[in-house]
Amino acid sequence: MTVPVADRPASRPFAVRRFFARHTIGLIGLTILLCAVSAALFAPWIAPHPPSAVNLMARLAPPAWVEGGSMTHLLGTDNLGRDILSRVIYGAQVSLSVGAGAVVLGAIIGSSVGLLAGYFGGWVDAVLSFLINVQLSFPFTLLAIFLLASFGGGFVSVVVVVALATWVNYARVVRGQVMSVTNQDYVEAARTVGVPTLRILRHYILPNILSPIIVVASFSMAQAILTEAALSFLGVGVGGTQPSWGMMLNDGRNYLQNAWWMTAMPGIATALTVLAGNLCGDWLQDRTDPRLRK
Amino acid sequence: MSGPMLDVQNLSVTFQSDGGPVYAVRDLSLRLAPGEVIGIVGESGSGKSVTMMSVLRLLDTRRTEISATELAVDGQSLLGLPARALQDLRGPVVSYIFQDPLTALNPLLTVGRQLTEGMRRHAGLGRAEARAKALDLLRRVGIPAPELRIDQLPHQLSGGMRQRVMIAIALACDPKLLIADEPTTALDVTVQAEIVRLVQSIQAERGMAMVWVTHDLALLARLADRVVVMYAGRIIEDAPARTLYSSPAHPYTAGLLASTSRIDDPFTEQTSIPGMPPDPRRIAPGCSFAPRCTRALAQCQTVVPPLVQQPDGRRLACFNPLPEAHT
Amino acid sequence: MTAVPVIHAKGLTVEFGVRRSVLTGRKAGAVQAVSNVDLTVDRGETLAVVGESGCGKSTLGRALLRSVPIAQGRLEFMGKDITELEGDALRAARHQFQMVFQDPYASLNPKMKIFETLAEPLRVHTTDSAATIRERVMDMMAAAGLAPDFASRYPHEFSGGQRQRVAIARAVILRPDFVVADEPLSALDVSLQLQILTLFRQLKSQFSLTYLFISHDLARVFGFADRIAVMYLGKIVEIGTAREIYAAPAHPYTRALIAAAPSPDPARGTERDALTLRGELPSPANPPKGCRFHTRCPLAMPVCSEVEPQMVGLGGRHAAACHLVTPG
Repeated sequence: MTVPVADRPASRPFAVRRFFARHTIGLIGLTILLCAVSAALFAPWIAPHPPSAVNLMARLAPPAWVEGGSMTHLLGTDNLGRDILSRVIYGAQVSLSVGAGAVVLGAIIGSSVGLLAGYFGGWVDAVLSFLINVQLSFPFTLLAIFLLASFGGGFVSVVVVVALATWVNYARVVRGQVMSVTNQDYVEAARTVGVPTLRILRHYILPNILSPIIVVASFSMAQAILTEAALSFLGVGVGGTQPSWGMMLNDGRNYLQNAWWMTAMPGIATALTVLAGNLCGDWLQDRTDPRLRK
Repeated sequence: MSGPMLDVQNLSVTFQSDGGPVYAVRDLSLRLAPGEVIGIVGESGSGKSVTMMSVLRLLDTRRTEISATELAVDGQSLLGLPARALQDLRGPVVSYIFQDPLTALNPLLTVGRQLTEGMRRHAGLGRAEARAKALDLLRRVGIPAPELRIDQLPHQLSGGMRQRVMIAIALACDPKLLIADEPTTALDVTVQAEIVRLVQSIQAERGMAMVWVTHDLALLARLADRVVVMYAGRIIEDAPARTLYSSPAHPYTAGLLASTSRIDDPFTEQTSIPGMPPDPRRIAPGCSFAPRCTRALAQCQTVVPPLVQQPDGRRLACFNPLPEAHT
Repeated sequence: MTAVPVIHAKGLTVEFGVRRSVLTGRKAGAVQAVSNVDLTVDRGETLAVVGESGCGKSTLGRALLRSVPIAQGRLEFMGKDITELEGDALRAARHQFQMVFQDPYASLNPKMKIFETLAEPLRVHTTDSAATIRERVMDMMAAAGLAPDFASRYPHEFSGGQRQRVAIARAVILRPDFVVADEPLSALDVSLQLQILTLFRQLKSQFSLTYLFISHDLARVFGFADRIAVMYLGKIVEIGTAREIYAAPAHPYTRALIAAAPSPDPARGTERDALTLRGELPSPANPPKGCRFHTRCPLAMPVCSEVEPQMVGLGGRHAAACHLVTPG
């Protein structure tokens, strides 16, 4: 206990330090994501080699820092002599665009279902909740393989299938949020004023549940990237000549013994991006959940 | 004559919030004699609850700065006392009753368990002894069928019942000082009347000192020996109850009294205090009440009026008090 | 006056938690929050509904606005039966009756600017141009004591008193015939309560409004309301002008409420303590037989637990439901 405090404003360095202390996790996550997004966007300029350029002379070259490696192929080459760094950079395009597409599609489907179930309740809620539970209890990988096998792969199919894997996350969170927001006086006030239902959903409920949706989106982004990698690994991914991280993992499978980098590099890329998504989700959750603030 | 039961000198409490520091209590000094009942009255944000919670450091210390030149209960200084030693004071020396009994009670423990915990810890009573005393206490606070209630969980009781249980817990260790923080605000008027009478009779019977924190000036009229009025973290008037109600000296006290609803005279037009309470984040120089005060002088805007002992037994912080005060 | 009353309710009953069994179609677990209430609100008056928590006063207010389903009874608004009004017709009728809520921190959409909140009723119910809406909102804000620059700000920037002004402005902007205010003061500090009460008064005379003012604070309401209805466990037990009720409270519950209200006068009588109530509010799911108040009534007689007392006129507009009162 000291002498009484004088009235003083918070000093600036203190405020800056506090900002960093509080947002470290979010900043790390955002930085990684930003790197991944830049890699995807500027791949043709960043990548040292074309991703599909085969060079049988340089097959299975190790990374630069391993004995026998060279600076030409920083992260080494694969069984066909393709530059792994370039393929990882190009692979970001597939992973992130599938992730983004699935997040948007999943958010739209899931939020709509949650919104309807939470706002109307009653039998609407009963039916939609049943649907959610069915989806949750279904072995997803089996469903995905079945769908992709019967309808064919390709970008759109993969996005739809991955969205199918994640929409439930939104639906459950949104349903709960809508239920609590609907009980707020301002929604009753809007009804008392005579605001039509659609307008209440758009102007009163949706804006107030947006932050949890964004939180779920960050986590789902990570899940979507992982799912896409898993599907590519299983050979039912986007396909084509465009490399993806999952496809690279699959390629490396047979060379684990003598060319570990073929698997490790895309694996690390996937893990970092997934981690970044989860970090951002965590951070956003802390920021937006009033129970965790203060 | 023994020393004061509660002695607070130059207490300041500052919270760190996202929007900058909040000056909750500023340079507050207060003494309470043994057996004395004081009421602390103020509006939300006046610092009345924070003052009392900082006595036993019940505030979240990570974001709170507390400073004082003296902070003592029953002659024992609490400055620099370790947390464990403070724990030992809770119960036998100081007890609290809070506004919301539902959050202050553990929802998973029976009434009896929560009631006997303190007794067994502080007085070293055995299980059977403690239970017998707990039944006694429940009976004393007016709970019907205590043999049944003692094994129930908080959610099985009504709001009024829960507050009675809180009072029983607070009394379990025969405290010398009881601090009641808005204990009836969540209750209906008829229940409030009962609780007030109950606490009053127990206080008279045991002769313990009591601090009753409230926003309702009317409630204190028959309860307190002395009333302390707080505004924006400071005491602005502190007077014997009869003096305060019959001739308030501070314009804020007078305004508060004038806007308090009067059941004995409800048809007389009331006058309200203009303006709004100050933001505790933004500290203006001078008297915090000056912007709303009809009697404000030029110096009120620049100098904080000190809390000065008056000849009629009150303490007052005002440069231009109401004239009736000195007659 | 023989004018048509704004509100005329007959035998109004509101039930909660009703579950209809899928197999038998029978109702189960019903709680009558409002039970068989008759009520008339005249044009231009302020009727206060007073009672403790759980007495059904808020539910009654919401039922009069058709915000909760009416289980039984009939509700007329300006002489028109609105008991069965549904859907778009009900929504269109809503511009005539509005509500002010208790908690100004919960009743404003945090993501809407003050201007949008106040413009919403006009957008929903009128075809006014953007310029007219702007003008009407600014006029209303001035009338409610809100500075013009508040329009472009969000609710979180305001204190409770200012928010309540916004909520009141929203309720009044359509010039409704009937406004229900549900405990609009109880979340506010004492020094602001009178300011808000004064605003209610001003707006009433400016727009010739009719209020149903729900409150637990009898002392506050005496000087503000024309008439007062006292509710206990879903029933109106006494009704009359403020002065009739203050001068001669007829129902023991009304007397207990008056006795329990604290007064800022240290010398004030102890004799009123005689009427302090004992015991707890019974569960509305299982109300006592006969007079619902008899379990806590200091004056209860054997008949009280058997026969439900009917409203008895006491002269003037004063009436009470108690076996002890005799027609005046």
